[in-house]
Amino acid sequence: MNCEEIEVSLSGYLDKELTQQESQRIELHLQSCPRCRKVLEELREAQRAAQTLKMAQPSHEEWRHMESHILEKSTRSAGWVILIVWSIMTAAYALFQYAMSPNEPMIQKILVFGLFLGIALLFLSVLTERIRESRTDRYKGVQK
Amino acid sequence: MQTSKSFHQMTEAELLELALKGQTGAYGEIFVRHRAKAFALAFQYLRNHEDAKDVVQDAFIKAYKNLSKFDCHRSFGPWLLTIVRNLSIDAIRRTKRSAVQELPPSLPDTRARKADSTVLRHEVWAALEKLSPDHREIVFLTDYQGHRYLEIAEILGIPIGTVMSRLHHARRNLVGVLKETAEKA
Repeated sequence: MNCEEIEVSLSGYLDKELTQQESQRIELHLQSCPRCRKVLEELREAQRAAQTLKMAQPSHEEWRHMESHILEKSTRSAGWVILIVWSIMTAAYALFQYAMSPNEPMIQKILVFGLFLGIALLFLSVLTERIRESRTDRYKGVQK
Repeated sequence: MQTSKSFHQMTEAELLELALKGQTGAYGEIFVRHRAKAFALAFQYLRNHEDAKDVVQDAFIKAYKNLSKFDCHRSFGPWLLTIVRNLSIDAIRRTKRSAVQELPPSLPDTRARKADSTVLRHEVWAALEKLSPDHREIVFLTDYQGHRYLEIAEILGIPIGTVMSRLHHARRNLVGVLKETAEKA
């Protein structure tokens, strides 16, 4: 293996990401190549420097606030889905019962079905528009 | 469901299975385990404390919503960090923010700071800023967060060979910038 091939693997060697065979090959090369030894030392220097980085984390209070926000939001969306699905199923069942009832006149059934069909179509069109808008809304991240 | 172990004694897979069954406490424990790395990564991209917090919140909510698609026996961390990364990039695009906003506190006087380890950290931050975003993120993921190459490949969506070569070039560039800074000082 020449120096160029060895060099690219030196980070992997440093991070113990190579196989035993690959590591041995690199160690053998390093014994006879001061140039690659220097590169390895530089890489180690960069690694040590980056490991000294420190970053301020949110306070305990902020973490707690974030956690409750996440859990509330996550369960809220599941609640909305359940509510919508159940409402649709209940309405569909009530309409089915109404349609099957022999006591109601046909004209009344047609009027009621027309009304519910209109509401359902309106709801669907608003819902699809909202979904489409939320995907492409450039200002949704802007705080109100 | 009655569990014999408390959440903090459970494995990640156990917690994820409980979270999928609607136990929010289990997801709370997942949050505690992964929040620091998620925040650090978001801050690395956004350089703003509040924005990074928002991205972390959104990432955990998004992960929860997609939990049913996730194989609970895989590691949750890289998957979450992929979401954090994507949301951070979206946030940068949305605000057209350059990544330099809130560098850690300003540098003290040059002459007085030679032996100070906090100075080294400031210099490293400044040096990282001079790298390309690709190089910055890979150095951050490897050396600051301590991820294995396989995890980094998953987070960044690149082959493992690319991780190794990109990291090699990134570290060499970082050394170059640090040397340059040392010569100027």
